[in-house]
Amino acid sequence: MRSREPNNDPDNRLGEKPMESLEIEDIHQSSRRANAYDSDSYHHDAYTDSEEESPIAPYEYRHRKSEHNDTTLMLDPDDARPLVGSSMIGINNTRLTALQTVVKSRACWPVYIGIALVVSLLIAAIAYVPPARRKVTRPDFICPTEPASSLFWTHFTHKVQTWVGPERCRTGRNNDVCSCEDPTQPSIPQSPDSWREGWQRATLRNAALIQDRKHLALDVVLLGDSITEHWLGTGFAEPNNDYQANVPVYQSLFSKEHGAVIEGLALGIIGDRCPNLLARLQNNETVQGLSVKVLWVLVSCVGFNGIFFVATQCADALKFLHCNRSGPTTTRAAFVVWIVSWRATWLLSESCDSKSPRPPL
Amino acid sequence: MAFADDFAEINRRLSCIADTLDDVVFFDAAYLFWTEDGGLNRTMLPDGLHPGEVGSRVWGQAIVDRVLKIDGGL
Repeated sequence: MRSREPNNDPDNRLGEKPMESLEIEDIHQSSRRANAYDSDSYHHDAYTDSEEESPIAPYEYRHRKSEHNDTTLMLDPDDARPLVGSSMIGINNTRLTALQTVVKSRACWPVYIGIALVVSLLIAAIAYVPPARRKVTRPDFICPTEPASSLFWTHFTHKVQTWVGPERCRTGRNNDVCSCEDPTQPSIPQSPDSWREGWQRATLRNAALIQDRKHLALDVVLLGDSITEHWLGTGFAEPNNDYQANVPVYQSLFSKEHGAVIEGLALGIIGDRCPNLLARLQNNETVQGLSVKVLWVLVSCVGFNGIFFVATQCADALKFLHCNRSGPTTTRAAFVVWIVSWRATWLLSESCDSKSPRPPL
Repeated sequence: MAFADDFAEINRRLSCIADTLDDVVFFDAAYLFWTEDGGLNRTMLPDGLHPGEVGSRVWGQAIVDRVLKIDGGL
């Protein structure tokens, strides 16, 4: 950067004041005048301007505190040293002028936008993970501090009571009053008649299955609702054509006679809930006399729109089942309660639309 | 609280209850029937609720594996 005597400025853009005493406002005015000049003479390419082309390019501003601690931007034509390591800030007026010109020139905005788009695409490409490679992570289970059946019960009972829609509670006599049973009290279905009759029929079938398997040392007995009964390809002990394909799968997995590793027995009744299962267990309809290592309980959410209530029932009934289990020959029982969220997803997608066909219980 | 949140809470509490009881374990099988993007796998659950042939095989094998694990004291 070369120096120039300030008074030799041919255009004298900085006015009549000596360079050494120019105040910051003077510099701004000078800059504005320079911009106006640049808009005419440097229109083509502001960045290619040389110091020789800029009428005030040789001058260097120095940011210096005056004796009165007033901030003053000074021009020091004789001092071209780098203004580093002091309290002063230097700026090249040519660059300032060029920068202002570039910013004002809208012709460059498409370039900036293009650069931003390219950067964004690069970031997106790096961050993108194909769906096939995404991991489904389990949520962390953090045990609540309060008892399971107090606040929880209140919360879901309220949900059931405020629910609007058909089949709010499967055992309710009407849709205005929910009359779900106490989850810890055994209950045999009474209404409607088709349910009561079907349930009794299935209970007798299960009792017959138990008699057939008494001589076997069972590894697992599956207790549950429709998903369990479908292992046998039935619903209420009558053939269900939709699930006949499940039967050979069941045999291959739970019958050593068919090559299975373990011996199991499925005792399900469609639509069963915890009170109904309790009735089966306490009336010795199912597991008494069986030698079984694991009881696999799969009953929770049947009841459709009463699903919240029923799911809550199982939280309490799980304890009740455990404390009241009556299986003298059961050496080790693991009550395995299952996957409420599986059915919840179904509810989310189907049950709110009354026109959607509902799967059988 | 949305449905999904409700059931996540139910499962969480069931798991915690099971943890407090002797000889009781909780098995969350929902992940067996989810697709990789978190939706229901309709191949395994044709009606969105009950396992079909494919789903029953996956579900049954999970039961077998868990029973063997329990029986083995694992």
